[in-house]
Amino acid sequence: MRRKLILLFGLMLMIGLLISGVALAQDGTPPPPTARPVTSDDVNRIARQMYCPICENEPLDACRTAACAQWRAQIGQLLSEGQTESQIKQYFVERYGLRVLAEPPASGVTLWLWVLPVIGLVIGGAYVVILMRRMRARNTASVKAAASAPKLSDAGDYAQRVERDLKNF
Amino acid sequence: MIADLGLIALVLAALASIYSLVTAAMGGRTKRADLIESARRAAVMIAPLLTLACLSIIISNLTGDYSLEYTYRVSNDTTPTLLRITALWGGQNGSMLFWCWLLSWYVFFTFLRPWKSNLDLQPWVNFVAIGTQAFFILLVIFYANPFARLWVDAAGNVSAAVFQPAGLRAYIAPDGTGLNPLLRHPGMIIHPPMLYLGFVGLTIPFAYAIGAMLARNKTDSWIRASRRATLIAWLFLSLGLLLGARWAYDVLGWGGYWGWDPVENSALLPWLVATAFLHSVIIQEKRSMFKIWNMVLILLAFCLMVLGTFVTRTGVISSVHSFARSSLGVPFLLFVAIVFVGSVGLMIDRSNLLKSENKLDSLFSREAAFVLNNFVFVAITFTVFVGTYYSMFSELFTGQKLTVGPPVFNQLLGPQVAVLVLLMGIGPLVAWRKSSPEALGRMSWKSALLGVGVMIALFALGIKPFWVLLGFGLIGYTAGVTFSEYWRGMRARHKLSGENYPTALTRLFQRNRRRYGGYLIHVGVLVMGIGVIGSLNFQQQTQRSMEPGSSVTLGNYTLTYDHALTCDPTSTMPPDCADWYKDRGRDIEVIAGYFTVSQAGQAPVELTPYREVFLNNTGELSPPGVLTTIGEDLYVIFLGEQSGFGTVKVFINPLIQFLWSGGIVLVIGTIVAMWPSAAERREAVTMPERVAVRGVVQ
Repeated sequence: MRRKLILLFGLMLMIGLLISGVALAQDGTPPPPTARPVTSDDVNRIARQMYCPICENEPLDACRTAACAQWRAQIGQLLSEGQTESQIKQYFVERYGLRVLAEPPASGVTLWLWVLPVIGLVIGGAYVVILMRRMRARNTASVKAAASAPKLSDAGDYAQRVERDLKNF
Repeated sequence: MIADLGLIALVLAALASIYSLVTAAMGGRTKRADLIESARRAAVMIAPLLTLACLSIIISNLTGDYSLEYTYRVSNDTTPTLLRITALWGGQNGSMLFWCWLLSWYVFFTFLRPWKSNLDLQPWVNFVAIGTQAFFILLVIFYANPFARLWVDAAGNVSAAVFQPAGLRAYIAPDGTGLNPLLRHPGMIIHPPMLYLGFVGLTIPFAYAIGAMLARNKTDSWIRASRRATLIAWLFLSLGLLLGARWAYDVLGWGGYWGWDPVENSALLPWLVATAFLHSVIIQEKRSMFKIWNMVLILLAFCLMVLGTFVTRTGVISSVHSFARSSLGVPFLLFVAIVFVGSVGLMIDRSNLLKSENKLDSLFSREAAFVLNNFVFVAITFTVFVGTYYSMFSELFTGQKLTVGPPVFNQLLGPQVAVLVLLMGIGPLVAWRKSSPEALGRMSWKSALLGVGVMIALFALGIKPFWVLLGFGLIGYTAGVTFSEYWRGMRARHKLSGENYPTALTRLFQRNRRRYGGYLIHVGVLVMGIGVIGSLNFQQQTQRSMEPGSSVTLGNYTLTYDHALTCDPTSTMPPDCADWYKDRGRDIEVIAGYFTVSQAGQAPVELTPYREVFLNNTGELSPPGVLTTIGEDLYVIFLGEQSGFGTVKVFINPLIQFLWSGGIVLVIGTIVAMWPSAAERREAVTMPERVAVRGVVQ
């Protein structure tokens, strides 16, 4: 029973980690807007989280096409007008759709992107637990046999195990 | 003329594969030795025939036979000899032929000699492997034929076809268009063949698995027999992924090595499943359990491989609309559907063959640890799959196009990979059949202490992010466990036979290459993990436009801009440009920036990052200037010069060396694990009885 609990605990830990990973990532705080002149680094900080339609697989800050350069200039312009990071992203989303964001928001259709892996993990995990329990339930007799087997405790036993394994290969 | 020979060889290869396919099936059903032998011989013939076909493409490229569409597209009069050879896989049609050719050599070596064991499997393995081969050869002939010729009609329109269309005359182009400049870099020459070798190699274990079911073979011999092929495929997949990452880092110039783009992901997916498979076959070999599961894994790996080939060849994910444009789409999907439905149907029909011979004794056992390992690998595969194909489905169903970028993957996968690393540190310590938390605690408390120590030390050094500390702590723990496994093995041998420690270590590797090579792979992965965590979390970057003579400071480095050099081969170039065009095509413009890096107390170093702009508008590369130290890379990209100002992007990529060196350790570990050992050669003679650990003989 205790082992079963440990296994369950392990699975829950993993699912918890996954969920908290998603949750933690949601509240990344953007740096506050400043009064100093807008630098390329300020632009890149936002551009890094975006994709322009010309460069399908390269973030906006790395894409070399003229179209992307224009987008970056636009970001610089909006920054100098005092707009925040989320306002600027919204500006591009309104014009070009959600595809401009490297990380689609976890809402609407795109929610599934975040939920599906978690659902998969839960269903898969539950299935594995059930399967393993069933495999074990069918086999209580041999468990008793295994339980009465000599305990593996010290290095001497380990040495024998190494030898046995070596022979076995 | 040469091309005609190649086409004939290709058609003969197709006929041989179809003959072998049919004969193998008949031989398998009737168990007639002459049919089985005939099928084997036909299978072995394919490799030489396809070699002829590939050679004729290479010769056409070398001689500049521009009557051939393929040569016209991938080569021209100024293409260097080496690139004319590698242009064999530089375009879609040639690379498909190349793919077939690699597969034919796997088939060749599998069936080179009449089998001595597993005779009942032979015709069926032959059947499945050759079925795959036949599909791809027919695909090349009918959908991606590199032997298509150029034809011209009365109005001067040029088209391509294998045979002369009515009313058209043969056409020989005066010069070719040349190889895509992206594919001229050595990294891009080596990396696709490695990936292909890994991809096609998965065909062999798949053929064994399905063959065993078709032959109604109850034993686990298919796993034993295909183990080396699986490892070879895995080695090449790993090499392909590593070289691809390195190529991106060295040439593409965006400061990273992995962008989670669909093409990369579609190569990663079969790798992930193959890795799970390599682990779970150990349970089947040792304990005859999880037979269905292993079938599912190898089937999944094979399907993901075919899907990956399809995706990388047609670009279907970046836009679903490219599906319509590519003629390969329908046959590919049909093939995947047939393979999938056929295999699943077969598995259901033969499920009585796939019953486990043993039961799970305990939830705290090596078997259970492997099950969890597989679960996490499959969960990761599922996550990558969803992330990769999500945008395709959302475009199909809602019309909304989406980008799933690195932040999504990093967040979803980070925790799963963390669990995997933890399992990597627990699995090796848990005994087969049954173990206990006490035993685990006894064997791993020192390593756990090491992990916690690493976390405390890093925290004291000022590293605060929780995930980073957890990651390094887990790596510390698992490294502790892995090294103590070596240590315990060495000490055990030392005590038993009095060998000194270095001898004991060598003997450990000699006697059980697979286990200790496997641990070496684990070490490689852990070392790579250090590089991944470092470069993901501590990368610094800045971008600046500078006048000559001015500097930018990042970290401990001061970068001073000297001057820029622009070489446009279509006009007169400055004399300094001569150096850049020693072995570079004249269809590439070079824009170089000259910089000096100075660090306190060290001699200044010159860096020359540059851009290669392809004059035919197919894109560009930005090889960076890199100053490498053990701890970090200073990585400089030159973005160009405008009105006297040079623009530069400077990165500090911490711990990135660990990624590459860990990759090398992983490759070495794989080679150690697959090298045949003396013990294994003995095993080939006498099948070992299965002895369970802890003295419980079954």
